[in-house]
Amino acid sequence: MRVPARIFASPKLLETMDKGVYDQITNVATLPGIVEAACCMPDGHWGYGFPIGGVAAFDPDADGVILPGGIGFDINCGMRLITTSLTEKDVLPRLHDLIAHLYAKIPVGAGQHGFVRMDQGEFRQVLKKGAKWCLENGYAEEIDLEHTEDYGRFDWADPEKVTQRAISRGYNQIGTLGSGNHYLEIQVVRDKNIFDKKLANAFGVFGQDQIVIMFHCGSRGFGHQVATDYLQEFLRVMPKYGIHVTDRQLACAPFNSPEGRDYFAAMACAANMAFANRQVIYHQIQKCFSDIFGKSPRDLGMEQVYDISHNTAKLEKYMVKSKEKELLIHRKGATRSFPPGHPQLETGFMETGQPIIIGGSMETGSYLLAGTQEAIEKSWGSTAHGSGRLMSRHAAKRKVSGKDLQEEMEEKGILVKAASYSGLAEEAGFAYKDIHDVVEAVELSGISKKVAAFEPIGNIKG
Amino acid sequence: MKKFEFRSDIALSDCAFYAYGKNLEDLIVNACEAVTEAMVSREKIEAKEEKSFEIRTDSLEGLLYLVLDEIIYLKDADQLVFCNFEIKELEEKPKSYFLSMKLAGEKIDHDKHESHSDVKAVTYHQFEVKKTPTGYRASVILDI
Repeated sequence: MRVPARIFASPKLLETMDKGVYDQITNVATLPGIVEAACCMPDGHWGYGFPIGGVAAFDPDADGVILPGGIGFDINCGMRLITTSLTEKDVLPRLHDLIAHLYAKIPVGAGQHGFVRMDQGEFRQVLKKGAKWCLENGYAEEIDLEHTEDYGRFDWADPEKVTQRAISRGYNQIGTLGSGNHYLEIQVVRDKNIFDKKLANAFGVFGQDQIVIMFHCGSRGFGHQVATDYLQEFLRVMPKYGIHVTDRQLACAPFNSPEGRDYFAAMACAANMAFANRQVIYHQIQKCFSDIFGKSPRDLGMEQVYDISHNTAKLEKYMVKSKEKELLIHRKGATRSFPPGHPQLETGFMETGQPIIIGGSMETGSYLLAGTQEAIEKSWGSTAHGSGRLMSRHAAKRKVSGKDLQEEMEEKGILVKAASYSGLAEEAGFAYKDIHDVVEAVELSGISKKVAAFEPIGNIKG
Repeated sequence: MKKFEFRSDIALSDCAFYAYGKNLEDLIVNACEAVTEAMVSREKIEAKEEKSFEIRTDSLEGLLYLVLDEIIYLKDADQLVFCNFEIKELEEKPKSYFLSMKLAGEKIDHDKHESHSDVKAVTYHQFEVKKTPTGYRASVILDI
């Protein structure tokens, strides 16, 4: 190991953390150019190469590397939170219709065309511009971009660095949700679940059974192919750079090499595709709400709180041994957690710090938090991204059938519509760590600050 | 001989399986079936469209990785899943492998094909093709 590993967790979470996390974070700590410590967030669990929940910083001036396995195949998979002025009382009588309408209008599951059709030339524009393409094409308002991490665009994206195979695989998927742990949820804010009133209000969350919408998806087949292509490229070039890794999924290249820079530019294209995908889905959600409630999105008080990224590598500045250094921060299944006043923060959040959206399992609810200075000092400006799995997908399916789970959830007041019953069973609440434990751990360690919690009442998933 | 089996003991977020084959051709076909099963229920897939592809690479593991990547690619690029996996040619030489395959299947229809997972990629984590006393065994983890 070149540096120590640092795991953020309560004793309870440590007890259930699987062995894969320890092996994998140890492997991460051996990578060239890693700085200070390899970190794992409280929702960390066995991934491939890096653990899910892994965060690592690499110094480009000290042969620091970039690696697809430290970002994940689903580049810029992320969460978006939208507030409304509707209350539970307004929505419950129409919930069945609303869920059915959302399910009909937002494609989910494997092998689906998106609802936004474009040719490959236009798709390249999306790769360059991200959410800005949506603004130029009537799918966004300026305020949406201001409330998106990095304003919805990684500006170093270069479509020339992407293979034709990745473009052919993904150009028809703008406006698809995907499957696995990707979902769209209708949630309620109870008064008792507001923990920091000032911050909650600043983020547009007021309680009184207010309805909010949360969804999770990413760069779809396009991002998956970008990662696959460069993983193979890096396996080819590693010997040239004298790099040997303990797990091929950790294949990497020096950041300051032609291959490393090419992947950085291609990865940014996938990040931009994901920003655009979430933006057009938000636009579609607005239309669905308007159809059901007969009012404009503005009259329904629909506003985007924030859109955050989970799987990225970005250049950020940190103090290392009393000197400011620009480091390449990899977050794989982890969320950025920038405090008030951070120079790289979107300007609208300078007083509050960035909003952080942590999605729980379908059954347990989700959280809104805010970024802190302690995250900068302890965890490379990062925090948890979800509840983290406790049980494998296969084991979850053996324990419950999707149909039974759907019925049980409906009895609990959560209406679910899924493309796949087996996929639904894989996402059962018992397959995940307790979200409340994860949030307690990030708050106790100081790497983010709890603002509010949300209870689910409706969910669509792939 | 079992064609493949899904594993519940590793890679919590993902989908791990072993594929088996009495020879290499068998192994490749069975691994393709396992990836398809991870995406949709295979029982109602009909052979309505064909796709052919060729792969040339320098390792056995590289060959299997690229075949499975092709199955996932075609699910997104053409919305196709397959029921027939035919190996037209397989050539093994030291550090040189050539494969020509023909697939037959149809477009995914969620009303007809029960959806499982939208598989994202084949990972290299614990990816392995091993010779066994009875043939071959591949260990694969798919990102879901």
